Amino acid sequence: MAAAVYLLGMFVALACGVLLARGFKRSRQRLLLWSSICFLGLALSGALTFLDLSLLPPTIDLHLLRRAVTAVSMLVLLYGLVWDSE
Amino acid sequence: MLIEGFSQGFVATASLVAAMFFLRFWTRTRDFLFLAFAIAFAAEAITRTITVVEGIPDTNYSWVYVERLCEYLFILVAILRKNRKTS
Amino acid sequence: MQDESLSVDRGDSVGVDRFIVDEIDSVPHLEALLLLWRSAPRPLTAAQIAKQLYISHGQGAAIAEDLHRRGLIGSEHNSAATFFYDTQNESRNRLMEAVDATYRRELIRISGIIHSKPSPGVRAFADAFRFRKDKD
Repeated sequence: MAAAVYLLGMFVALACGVLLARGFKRSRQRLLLWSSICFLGLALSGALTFLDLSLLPPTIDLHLLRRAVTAVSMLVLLYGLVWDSE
Repeated sequence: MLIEGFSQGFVATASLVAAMFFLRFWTRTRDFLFLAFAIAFAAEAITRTITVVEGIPDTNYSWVYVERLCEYLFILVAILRKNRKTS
Repeated sequence: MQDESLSVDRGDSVGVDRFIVDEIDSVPHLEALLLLWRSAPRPLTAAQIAKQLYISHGQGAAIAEDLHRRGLIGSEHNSAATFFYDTQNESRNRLMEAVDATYRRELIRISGIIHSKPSPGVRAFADAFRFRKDKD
């Protein structure tokens, strides 16, 4: 049940990432580049969470990897918001 | 674990800052999508903070993933709503 | 000044304002577009545009590229990339005339409209989530 939620989360983040990537190709606005990367990273994190919760055995723990991917994604988003939103 | 607290705190703070940027974008554009992102990221910040403070798991815990489900649905609805209005 | 603008066709000024809100990212963008409009159909290089607007070459090139990407001006890529205003579309020409006249008369108001817009990055972000791209 919880795993399904994170799969949905992965799709939503993926959709946002793809839309923003498309928008970046059209407009060349760098804010979209960074936020697209962030959402794709969050999608990856969601996918890893789904794997961790449902498919992988308890001996493999993706916990730290997920945290790292999420943290880096948010860092990229912050960079874009601070430098490229004006 | 220290690193757990640090990474959650990092992401929570980053989410809060992102939420504030999106809130500002919303005041400028009145585009509901930005408000939706602001709320979603703020909710992330709050959820992560609570899971660390309460010492509960971050993913497979009843209200945590229900809350996340609401976040994702909220974003989806905001995107769809935006496009229904355009037509 | 005020009475003069009131006697002008109201439809004109609404169209002008709409155009500014929808298509113009900054005052140099508008001035570059009007420069090319007034020089039409003579093409100008990014360097020439920049010189006329007293901005750097890089800025001039970026602005010209932006205007081209929005379909507001045409470009030829010969030995040097040149940009020109394409006079084919009659209703667009009339709009440009109105924009030119309005900008000369109401500089402060038009600049005000441009400056109160959210930044192009923010607008592009919002636009990215629109599935049907007929406006831009």
